[in-house]
Parts: sequence; C-alpha cells; structure tokens
Amino acid sequence: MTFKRTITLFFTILFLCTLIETNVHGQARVTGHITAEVIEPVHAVSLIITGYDLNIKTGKEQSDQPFEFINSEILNMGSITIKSAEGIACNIQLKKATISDKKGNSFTIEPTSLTSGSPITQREDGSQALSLRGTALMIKGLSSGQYQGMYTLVVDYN
Amino acid sequence: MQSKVKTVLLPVFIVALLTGLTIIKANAQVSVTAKATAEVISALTAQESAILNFGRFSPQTQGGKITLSPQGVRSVEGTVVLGGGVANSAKFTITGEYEATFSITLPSGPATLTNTINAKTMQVSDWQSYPAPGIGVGKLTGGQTVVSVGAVLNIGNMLANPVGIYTGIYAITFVYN
Repeated sequence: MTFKRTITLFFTILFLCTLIETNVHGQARVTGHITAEVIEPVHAVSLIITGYDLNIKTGKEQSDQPFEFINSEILNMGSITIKSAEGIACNIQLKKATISDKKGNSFTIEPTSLTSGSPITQREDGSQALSLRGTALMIKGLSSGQYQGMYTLVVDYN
Repeated sequence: MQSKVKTVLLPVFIVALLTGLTIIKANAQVSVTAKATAEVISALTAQESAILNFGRFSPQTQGGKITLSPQGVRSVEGTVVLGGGVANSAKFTITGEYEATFSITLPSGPATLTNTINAKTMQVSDWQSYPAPGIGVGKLTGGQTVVSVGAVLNIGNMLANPVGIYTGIYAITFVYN
C-alpha cells in the first residue's frame, strides 16, 4: 500500500513538473534586428550660363515652319556638378523655363542633359558633371528685347 | 515504524504544497473526489521574418526623426531627407495553438543603433505594433499570424551621425493568454 502511494505521488509530481514545462513554452521572447543607413547629402555646384543672345528670324524664314514655333535654337547652358553618395543612384529632373519680357511676351527654353542623352538620368557614382543644352522655342510675333526667367533642376535620391 | 510514517507523510506534504490544497477540516474525515484536467497545446514560437529597416537617409544640418509605421510607411521630421532604397517595418511570424490569443509586449525603453565603423549612435524609441501591444490582442488564426513592428528613429546632424550603416537589436515578447 505504501509503495503504491509512493509511486502515485511520484507520478503526480512528475505530472506537475510537466505542467510547469508547458507554461514555459507559452511565452516566446525574440530578438529583433534594426538597421539604418546614413548617406551623403546631394550637393550641386552650378556653372550655368544665364545670358543668351537669340536671333529672331525674318518673315520669310518664319513661313517655312509648320507649327506655331517659328524658331528653335540650341543653347549652351553650361554645366552643373553633382556630388552624391557613392554607388547610390539618384534622379535628375530638368524642368523647362518660361522666359518673359516686361511687356508680357514670352517663350520657353527646354533644358536637356547631354551626358546621358536623357533629361532624367540615374547616376551610379558619387560625382557627375552634367553638360546642359537648351532648346529655345520662340513663337510668332516675338519682339526683340530683354527676357528673363528661370528653370529648375531637381536632384534627388531614388 | 516512525521511519515508515515519515516516508508516507513527506510526499503527501510535498504534493499538498505544490497543488495549493488546503485541508479545511482536519478533525473530521472527508473524502473528496476531485477531477483534474489539463490541455496540452502547441508551444508558442516567434520568428523574425523581416528586420526593422529605416532605409537610407541624409540627416543634413539639424537631423530629426524618421517614423516608420507598422504598415511600413516612412515619414520625416526636421532636416532629414529620405534617400530611397528599401525600408520596411519588422515582421514576426507567430505560430502556436489554433485560434489561441496572445499578448504582445514591446520594448519598454529605447534601443541603440551603433555605426559599424565609428561607434556613433542613434536611438530608436516609440515602439508600435500591429496588432497594437496589449493583452490578448493577437490571434493565431489557423495557428499562425504575423505581427508588424514600427518605431521612431531619432537622428542627430551629420556630425553626430556621420555616413555609415547603423545596427542594433531589441526584444519583443509574445505570451499565450
């Protein structure tokens, strides 16, 4: 009888120990990992040409043009040097400029980058010198005089 | 005889202690039949399936904060400029008993990220999760679910946090209810 009780108690204790073990597995503690990367800011150094002399064509030359634009001229707009994080691509966007005089006459200049042949390029190295060209699109009736405006070049990381 | 009594009483005392049973009436003999039940369920396990990645950014002159939500959306404060690339919230795959609920406990304090080259640091705080932390907030639908974790990265300027990769760890706890 005593032996039987002892055995019963033994298995009871064993069972309780099993319950304690089960309770331990009711919790999961896990280590998470974090990462972040600091990169160089984008710098741009401008060597851009801001003054141009444009020719307005005569009436005879104008009649050859099929569209509203009667004169388009390729401009050398200088260059811009961009320094960004090495090995990380960035976007370059060139937005067209509207050039106006004091009387309200205006025309547009569409800048492009000669480096890639595309106005929007991705650069993989840290430093790039972009040569800029622009196309001046002048409409009918444009009078001579001084015109002013601005264009925008946006450089940002992907 | 005395030794035999000891042999019998000692285990009885131990069992009574472990089970928390209290003998209410010692002066009368009472026979009670008690039923004990136990349910063995699947162990709760958690595995990190995606690390907390704040991605690339430039602190610029003042620094600031990047908030990365549990849904993986980044937003910035201060002069910080995001640099693209991959950024994502942390994901933990939780497995266990079908349809069981569990609690989520996020870190109580900030975690430190250390630059792998120059030992400069930045702090991660304001932990968030989806489901939100609390008791019984998670449910193991089909025996498995995913918990997403986001946080806020506090960034100094370029001097305090120069270019480089910063890494760190944190602990998160999941418990059956």
